[in-house]
Amino acid sequence: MVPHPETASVEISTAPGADDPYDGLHQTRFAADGAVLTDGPPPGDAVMTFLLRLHASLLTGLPGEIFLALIGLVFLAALVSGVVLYAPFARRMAFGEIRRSGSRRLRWLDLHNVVGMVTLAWAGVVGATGVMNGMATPLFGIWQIRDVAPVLAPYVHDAPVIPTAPLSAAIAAATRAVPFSEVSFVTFPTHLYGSPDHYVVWVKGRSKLRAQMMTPVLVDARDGHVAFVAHMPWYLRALELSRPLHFGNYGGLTLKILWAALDLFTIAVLASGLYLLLSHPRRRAAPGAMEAAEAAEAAEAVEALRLVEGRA
Amino acid sequence: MKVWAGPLAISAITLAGLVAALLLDGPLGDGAGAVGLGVPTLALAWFLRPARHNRPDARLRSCSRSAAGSDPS
Repeated sequence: MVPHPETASVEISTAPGADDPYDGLHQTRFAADGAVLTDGPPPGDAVMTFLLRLHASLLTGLPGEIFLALIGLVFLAALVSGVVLYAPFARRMAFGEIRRSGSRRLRWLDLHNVVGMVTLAWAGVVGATGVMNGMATPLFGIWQIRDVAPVLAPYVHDAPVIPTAPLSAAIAAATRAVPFSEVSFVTFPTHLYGSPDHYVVWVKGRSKLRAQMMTPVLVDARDGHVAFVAHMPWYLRALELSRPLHFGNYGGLTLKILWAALDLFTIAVLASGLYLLLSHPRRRAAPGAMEAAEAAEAAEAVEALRLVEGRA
Repeated sequence: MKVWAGPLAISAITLAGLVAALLLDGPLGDGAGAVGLGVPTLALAWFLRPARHNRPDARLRSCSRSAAGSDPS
């Protein structure tokens, strides 16, 4: 994707020292014609940042991420169990039919089945990609330990160098090393998520799909030659593709609105599932009144059968 | 198999739309995503619409009208 010359911009983020953390950055953003657009601390939306951290890790970092990945697996298991249970209930009904003349519980059961089956594919995609996103930190850790750390080991004790190779030459070398790519961002020599002797040029593909896939290229900061192309393994490619499929931010405003609508429908499925669980006759009955509960359940089944037979 | 026809069709449209939106650039991809999620959303809107014809009293009124129409007197 070629950026539009009128909307393209370049951001430069600087810190006092090469190894200083990212929480004290100064950011300057330039338009394509060189005009300064913003200059100061990086703009951020505190509310959205908080919500994202809450959603991704329950504000607890890695333990929260792992916990939410496990919750995602439970959610997927619930979807599978719902599919298994759907056929016996819906065998004698039309798809999308909701029995409005039966008991309230029967109506909620039909609502749960219909909304659940219609949103099943979307919920499955969001659940599976959520599990992948929850595992992001461990997956990146595996890649760094197995593939990146051995390459950076000879440089790890060096002080961050002051680059002498031009940045434009480093970018050109990196995009030549990875065909059909363009630069996304560059990290100057540092020990934080980089190398003290190299630029790390992060390139991405040019198509909409490949633009989701990043490849870091280490370029020597002294002479500008490519030292290492850190091709990512399949599980990180899957993780990169799972991000847009989880957040729904890749198809314009219409997709986002429909995404929000399906979110609400999925909440309705979860709420109706809880209602059906808590209102189950056996659950409501006292220990001594099990026979009465079974009788009520049988009466409900007979009522459901009668309604279906009447329609058939 | 009949019971799965509807859910399978909706799921296939949803998945195809989501993947096409990821593969196709520009308005074509946006449109594919809108169709992929628009179809299940519209289907739900249709299934959950207030259905008067399902109410027993509406059926009764309908029967009464039929009976009145066929009354020779």
